[in-house]
Amino acid sequence: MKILVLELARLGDIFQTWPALRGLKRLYPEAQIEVLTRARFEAALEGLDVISKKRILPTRDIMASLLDPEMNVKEAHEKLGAFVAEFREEKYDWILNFSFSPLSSYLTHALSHEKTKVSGYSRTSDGFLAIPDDMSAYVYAQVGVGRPNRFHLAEVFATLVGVDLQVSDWRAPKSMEPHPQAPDVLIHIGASDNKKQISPVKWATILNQFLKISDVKIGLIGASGESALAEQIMASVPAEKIENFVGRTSLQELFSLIAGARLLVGADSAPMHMASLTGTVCVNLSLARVNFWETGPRAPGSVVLRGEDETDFASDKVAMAMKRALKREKQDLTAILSQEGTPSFWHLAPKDSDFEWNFIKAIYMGNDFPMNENEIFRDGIIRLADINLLMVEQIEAVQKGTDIQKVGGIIDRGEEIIETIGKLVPALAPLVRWYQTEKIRIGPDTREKLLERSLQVQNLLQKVLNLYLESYGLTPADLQAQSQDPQEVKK
Amino acid sequence: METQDQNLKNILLRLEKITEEVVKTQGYTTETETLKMLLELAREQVTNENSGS
Repeated sequence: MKILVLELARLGDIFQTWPALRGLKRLYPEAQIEVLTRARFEAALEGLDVISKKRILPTRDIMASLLDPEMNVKEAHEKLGAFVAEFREEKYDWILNFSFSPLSSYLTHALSHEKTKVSGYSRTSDGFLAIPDDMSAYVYAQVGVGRPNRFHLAEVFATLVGVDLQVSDWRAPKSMEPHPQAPDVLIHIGASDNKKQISPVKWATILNQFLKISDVKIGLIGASGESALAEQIMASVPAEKIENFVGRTSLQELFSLIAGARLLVGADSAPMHMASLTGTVCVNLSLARVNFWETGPRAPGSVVLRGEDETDFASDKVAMAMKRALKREKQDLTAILSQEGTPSFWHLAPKDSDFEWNFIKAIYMGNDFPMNENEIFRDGIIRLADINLLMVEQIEAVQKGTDIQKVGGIIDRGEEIIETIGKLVPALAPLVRWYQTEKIRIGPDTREKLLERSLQVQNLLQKVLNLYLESYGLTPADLQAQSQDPQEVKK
Repeated sequence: METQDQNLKNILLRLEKITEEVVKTQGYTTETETLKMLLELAREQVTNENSGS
């Protein structure tokens, strides 16, 4: 079997797919697994011994034609077209799109043949987004910053592959040896983007606090572009106690250092994901722009400290968390702890904050629907049911012969109202996003099939709404009576 | 860097216009799909400074 995996994201995202790719090879030991990536991030695949071949998207060459003073669109179009046409001849049996981006969805469709199995985003024959599998539908609806998903991305990729991860899937690159002189503690001073980054002043304060309570060896790590930040830190700490590796290591040397260290401290970043593979304990300083449930460190004993911004990270507390993590001592209750299973973290959060996650588990995993007596939520459920029943009526009318032109406007308006309810009542957003995703998944078909599938989705939504209506002592018939007689609303 | 950003934005605008026109006249074909890919490739250069190669 020939499998193509699209990995067009950055270093850290690629490292998070390693366990799933190992699981894929375990499932299909004879399979030829090829990975399409960008030249800039191909180093993140070195040492991943389950891959038969790396393929590179020629972004630079194509962009060179576009960036030409003549802006040569025709040439860029031809280059990309030729790349896709030649690549398509490989006739892959299975394309796994791990990138979840618009570009990767078009590429997936362009490289697919009639018999190609596709997992992850693709495109329909008329160019609309195609979401072929349930896991991708879940990603589309519920995964990302500000969303209530609590599945780690490594689990998401594994589910897309269809494999249960094993402890042995989390391991360092082949032939990599831990650095014998690695410092005990590594500080990764950078982050995957500026908004997740801790300032040099803050790092220096944390390090000075830590040096008051510990005398272990410390090293700074980071990319060459972060050398100036490293120098600012070094100027404010006892330089003899800290070694500066920033900009001086290849990715493979970095792996070796991380594997040799006892603790890695940093914001959300590629080294944090490398540490999950080497089993190195992490203290992750996680800022609000990151969903730690999805991308937090996975090595046992790791800790996530959460902050809206870096001022929330009191340096003495961070230093203490580092000391405790090194000694594998119990952390205080504000720390978020890495744990086995799903979700991958233990978090002492306010009880209410669990509602949306429990709602998701009910929608997607068949758990019981969590009750919610909040008046805004109740009102949202009633309004959703009201509009949904109206939409069901319209679709059924079209099925019985009513001209779709007559009711199309009502259905479109219904979709707008459902979207608005999702925005106004955040607790209902997971259900609304699930509904909207299922509507997207309907795809091109005959008119009869489209109506049938639409009705199925509306009816599924109604089933969930009915459960809540029932808990409020209402039935769909009550709502229909109310809409015919507005006085009934007051009852 | 600012000049390159502006270049990329100009490229995006032109690609968006071309793609819209081609989709309108030809429908969704292999050619238009390649244009859509080109558009997304260019869009990623604007939104993601780290995907430059």
